[in-house]
Amino acid sequence: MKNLALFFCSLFLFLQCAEDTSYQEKLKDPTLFRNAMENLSDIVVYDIFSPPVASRVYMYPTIAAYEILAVNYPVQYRSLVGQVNALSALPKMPENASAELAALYAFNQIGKSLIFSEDRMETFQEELENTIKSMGVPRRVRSASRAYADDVTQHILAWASGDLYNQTRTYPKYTILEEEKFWKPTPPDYMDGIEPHWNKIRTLVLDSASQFQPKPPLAFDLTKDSPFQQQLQEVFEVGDNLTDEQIEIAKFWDCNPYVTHHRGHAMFATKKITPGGHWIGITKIVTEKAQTDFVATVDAYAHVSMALFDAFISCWDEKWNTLVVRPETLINKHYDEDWMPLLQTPPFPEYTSGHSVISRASAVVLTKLFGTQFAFDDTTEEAFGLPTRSYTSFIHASEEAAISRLYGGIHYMMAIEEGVKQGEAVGQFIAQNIETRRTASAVTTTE
Amino acid sequence: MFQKSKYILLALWVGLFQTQCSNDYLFNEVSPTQSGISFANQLTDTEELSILDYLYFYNGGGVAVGDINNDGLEDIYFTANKGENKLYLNKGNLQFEDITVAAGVVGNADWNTGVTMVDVNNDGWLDIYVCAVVGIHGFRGYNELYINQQDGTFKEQAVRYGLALQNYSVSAAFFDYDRDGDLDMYLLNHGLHNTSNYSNFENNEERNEMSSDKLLRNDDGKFVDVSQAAQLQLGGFGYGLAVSVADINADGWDDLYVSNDFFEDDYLYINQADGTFKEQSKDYFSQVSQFSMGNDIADLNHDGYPEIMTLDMLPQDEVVLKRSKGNTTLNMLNRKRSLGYLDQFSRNHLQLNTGREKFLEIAQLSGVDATDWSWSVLFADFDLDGFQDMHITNGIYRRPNDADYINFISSEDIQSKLNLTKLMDTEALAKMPSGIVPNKLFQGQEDLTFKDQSATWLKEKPSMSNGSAVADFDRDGDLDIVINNFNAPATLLENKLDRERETFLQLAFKGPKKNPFGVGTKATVYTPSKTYFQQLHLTRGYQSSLPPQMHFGLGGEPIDSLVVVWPNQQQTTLFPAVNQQLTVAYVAGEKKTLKAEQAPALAQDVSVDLGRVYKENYYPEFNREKLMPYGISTEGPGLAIGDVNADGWEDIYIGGSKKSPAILLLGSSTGYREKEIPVFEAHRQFEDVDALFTDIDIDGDLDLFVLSGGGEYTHKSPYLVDRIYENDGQGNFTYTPERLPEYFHTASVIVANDIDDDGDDDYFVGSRAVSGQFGVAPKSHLLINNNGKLTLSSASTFEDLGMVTDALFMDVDEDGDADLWVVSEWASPRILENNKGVFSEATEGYLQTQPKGLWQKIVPYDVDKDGDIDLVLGNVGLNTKFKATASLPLKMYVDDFDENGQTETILALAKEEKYYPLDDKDKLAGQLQRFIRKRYNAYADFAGKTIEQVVGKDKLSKAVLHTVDELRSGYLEKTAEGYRFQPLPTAFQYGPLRTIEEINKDDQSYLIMGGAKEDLPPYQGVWKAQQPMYFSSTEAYGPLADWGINLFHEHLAGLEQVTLNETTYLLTVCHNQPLKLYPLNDID
Repeated sequence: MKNLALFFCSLFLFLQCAEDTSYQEKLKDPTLFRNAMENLSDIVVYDIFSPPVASRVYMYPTIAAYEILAVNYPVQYRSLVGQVNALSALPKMPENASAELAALYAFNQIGKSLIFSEDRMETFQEELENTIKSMGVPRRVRSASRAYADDVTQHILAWASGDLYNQTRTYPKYTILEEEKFWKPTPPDYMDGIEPHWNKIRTLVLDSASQFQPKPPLAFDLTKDSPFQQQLQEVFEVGDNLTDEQIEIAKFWDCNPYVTHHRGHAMFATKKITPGGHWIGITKIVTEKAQTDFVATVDAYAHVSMALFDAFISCWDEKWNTLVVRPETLINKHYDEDWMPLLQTPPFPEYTSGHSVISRASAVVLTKLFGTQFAFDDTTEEAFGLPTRSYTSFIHASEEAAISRLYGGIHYMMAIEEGVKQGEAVGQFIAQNIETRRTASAVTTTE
Repeated sequence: MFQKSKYILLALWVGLFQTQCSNDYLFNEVSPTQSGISFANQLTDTEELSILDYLYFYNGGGVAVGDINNDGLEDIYFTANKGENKLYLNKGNLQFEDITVAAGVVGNADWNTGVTMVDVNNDGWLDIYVCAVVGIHGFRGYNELYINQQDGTFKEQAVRYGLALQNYSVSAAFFDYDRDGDLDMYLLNHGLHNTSNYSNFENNEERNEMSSDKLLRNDDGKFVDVSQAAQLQLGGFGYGLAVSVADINADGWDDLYVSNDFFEDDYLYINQADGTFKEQSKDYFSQVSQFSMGNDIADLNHDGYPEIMTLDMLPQDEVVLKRSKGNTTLNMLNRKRSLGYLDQFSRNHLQLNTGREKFLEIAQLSGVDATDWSWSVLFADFDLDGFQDMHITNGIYRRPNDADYINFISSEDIQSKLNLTKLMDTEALAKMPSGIVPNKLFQGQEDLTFKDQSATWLKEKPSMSNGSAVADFDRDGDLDIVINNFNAPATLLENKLDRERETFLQLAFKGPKKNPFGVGTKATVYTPSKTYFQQLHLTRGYQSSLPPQMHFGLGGEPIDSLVVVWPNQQQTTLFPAVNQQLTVAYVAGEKKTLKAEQAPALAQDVSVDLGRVYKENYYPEFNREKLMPYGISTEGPGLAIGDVNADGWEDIYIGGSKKSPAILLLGSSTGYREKEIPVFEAHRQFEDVDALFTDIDIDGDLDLFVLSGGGEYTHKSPYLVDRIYENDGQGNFTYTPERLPEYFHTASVIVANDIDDDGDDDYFVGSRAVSGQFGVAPKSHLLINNNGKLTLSSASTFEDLGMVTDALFMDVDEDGDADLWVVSEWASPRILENNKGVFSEATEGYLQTQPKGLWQKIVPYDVDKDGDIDLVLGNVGLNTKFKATASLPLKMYVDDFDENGQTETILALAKEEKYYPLDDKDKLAGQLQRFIRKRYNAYADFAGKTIEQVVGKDKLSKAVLHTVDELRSGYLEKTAEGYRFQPLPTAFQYGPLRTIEEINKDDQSYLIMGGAKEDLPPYQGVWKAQQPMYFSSTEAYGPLADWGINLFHEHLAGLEQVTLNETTYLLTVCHNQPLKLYPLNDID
């Protein structure tokens, strides 16, 4: 009996002892970061950020988190300072702080400053704080991490403020050019073109927005059987003869953040993740499947968010330089006044296809990290009522994303093919110029 | 009388005990228990049927009023969309009895809409025609015709008359379109076409059996569809919500006005007097309501021509306004224009009939543009003061255009239960906010404005109200109101006017055999001071019909005479006493009216077309400066008149706009011919805003000084320099840049005077704005002439004159030299006093009142004919979104609010003494995205916030504030004490007066005033309602059309008087229209 009491007593001491540091391991749970990213993604959807702007909302918080971790895991990881434009070294982390916790805090803080619905972020931050507390993270660690995260937030936002985003908010709207070959706003709302000056945004890794300029679009020519007309005809015909599989693919990759529906005076909107958000979702699935640890998870997100950011700048540069008219505009005018594409045409010029560019760029960097044969089940769109689709590789997924735009009736084949090439070039450039791992070994996983 | 005094006693009694005495109201709501009218149009959303399935689910029902048993009391029929219709018999004393079942008029259709009481079988007893929507959502039935059996019962006999139509019917109007004596019918149907894709207007010709409107000709009691023959080919996409009949152009043939919802233009079918109609909305109107709902037609200004009022859904309440999506974008507007649509703006439109086949839209000036989601409008003189008042029903069960609902609420629900067959369910629908609001009552004033009496003439009560009718139910000489409400009992409003002084006349008709109630008859009542014109038509407002009677309030005056014109144009003249109900009987064979068969002769167009068009280029400045309140890039042309080749003939310079070269026209005995000036072609990229022929180099010929402007060029653009062209004496001009010092500006005006008395002309050149930085004050310049070379005056006086629009030299202080008047926007007129060539600010000493306006023009003229010179001031007028008074001025804040290096302007408007941003959240966020959306992501949070709250007090106090406290054009009257501002009459306030010229006609001096503005943000619409006016004094003025100069809805931008072969002409320059010369002396 006495022994038993002694046993419990020592057990208690042992447990107490173990609890003192066990939070450190708990904080290394990559789910914490994935949840934070998912929360950010949800707010991006709620606030209706356009695809290019959304890529910026993903990128800065993710880089902040990565930099904190890289500096604190110097053996395995390299800082991005010197690898991306204009980023300077973070302030030094104080002793008491936890890199993982500071990374989470900074991620949320920077995210909060970039989105609009701050109340939603605050709710999440409170929940996170409760989780952290329940892990037994000591107050001093929490406050040191928070203080450091605030410093990093300042640092990163100062960096971000130099990217011309704020200035471009007041740049002129696009003025519609009359010539038929030029882009016109599209049904049903004839919205103004999104981000005509996005090519002014400072790139991250690329030398310039036009570094990987695709070959020019086919010359506008509505003469029957001209190369351009054939592509237009293809959109029209494919749209009218879609198979169930093609319809599913198109809808799966729709990724339109704001689709309006009109029923008489009643109007409502469906909102989905952006194309970039979809690849952020894939990164979650992949890191889960690969069981990457906390830092490697953030590294994967950082790669994808960098690829998205530069890919959108590259693509938008081409879109607003070539100003190619959407197929819907021409088909309605010349072939069938009532023709509607399966997907709602998004409000910006056609060439090149954004989804093709950014999907390919994301796939290339993910391939670099996880290999060419990484099969996965893509459940990203489940939250939006769409089924799961399976892919044998990232490239496989990105190619489906690209061709989905033809099925959706919103792109010509040229914008898809050239978009894929453009995305490949952007992705390869990033893959070659960004080194995050000290060792050439494959991804570090948790056990 | 006894009853009345008892009533007054009671009122006094109650008044003693109640501070809030309900008897102050003009109208008393008679409760259902008192009246016996318990009818309510009840509907609930179900999974099977809601607004998501049927777009017009919340559109409500109608009311028909008429005396169905010929007992002299008006009875009421209500339609219920899904329930039982009701017929109430008037028993007198505002008590009614439900006789629906006994009368056999319950109705059998599944979805009832409009109703009309009309005598279809010509037996002198009113029948009832009930419209139905059939063929969608399982709705069965047909339009029903209840024939009065003259014994309190009815028999449904639509089939027999050929009126058992199965369409998407909304309303029916009975009128005699072919003047064969019997009543034909126009059937208004609504469309179902997908509204998401704008169709090409030109292709919109296919008829749809179910949704296209129909015309049915009465062939001896059988109605035959003649829509094709009558050429109603338009209409496949017409979302008809109301139809009214009136002889719009006073040619003796009844025309039609059809309100169409959504993108389809409203239709104005002008009767061609040959069995066909011609849709002429584009000819008659500058614009129409976008989401047109109910309408009514009545002569408001006693000129014998009827005005048209159409309703829309613009909210007045600040919170509702800012929560609602509604403003169209520039993109959308331009797209619709390119597809051939008429301009449409989402607000009520009051179309003033000029009698010249043109209407002027003045709802904003009249104060009736915003009455929320509105359904029925009825004109009636409720207070018998001789001016038509207006009752408007409004309210909607749920507001589908709530911006938060669209952007945030609906999508959350859709995402949580996405179901591909039905995106939303009733639960999600229930979150759509309610649109229950009080109805509106406006009191008509003499000057076509209306005073909001909604809360003073009756006790305000929120409701959702649809069809309505007015009638004298209690036979006391004034008009009462009955309203069909959605999900609430019908409303009966008793008019309790204490008719001590006011006079009235009620008219009924005993018409010819085939039209016993005289539908279509016109009556004109002449009193000592006014002429009152009405025409009898039954279908009015929304889904409703009124009794076959006319009601004239006569403002206390007796009647001199009454002239009745029957539909066959036969005329009856009577001399009735006031305050009676008179029935005028048709007697065959009386004389026909003089102007029976033709429209009043429109003045013949005697203008000379100069064969050239002044082309103004389109530049959407609002894409660059998203918050600028109005554009500054369509300010041309620069016009100058002078004899450039010394041949004795006046020559004309017409400046070019960007991409179009200027033109020099040389006068001669054979007219004008163009003289090629090579440098004009080279200078085609300039936008000329003002020009002056002036002898700069003192060599005896007229050189040309041209000012450059337009909002397109910025900073030190080479196109922002002014230009001097030297004349060789033969009218050949060469560019001489060396004569000007270096300065860049977006110019506005040039005036010349020898200010330093050295024998040559010096020049003041005013600056309009800083392009790209609206609201920032530009610097104007004084140029001193030294032997043909101009230098900038170093005086700083000219640097802070604001956004100058016009100026003139005049010896104000009578010291022998010329002082300078300057007018600008967001400022009061100013006087700069000249003392030996040195100018100093002297406004304070001369102006008794200093109104801050958006001044456009200043012209000297003896307005009051007292022998001294007053100054006429052009302003933007009262027909705008802007509101400004001395105590509550319009405000404009200028600052870089979001601190990104770009200044913005934010306009604030007072509403009930608080200031709110003029722009909505989306518009503000278009320029100040983070600044606005970080603070207010939800529209509901933004709505109702004052400008202080939206921008923040600190930021606001740091911003530069400009104000305007006078929007009216007027004149500075010269008095012994100084100049005092006086407004011009209301007829000059319909739009901006941007062009004012003094001319001479028949040896009499006049001012010609006009103007328009189109480079406005879409929420402003276009300022095109001001017709050009001639003006001699505040007592003697009129539309220029009286002189045969018909310039309506044009962008009139330049006027000059020119003389050729001893004939004086008025040269008119309208944007994108041919230049024209109108002879001034030969006509009249």
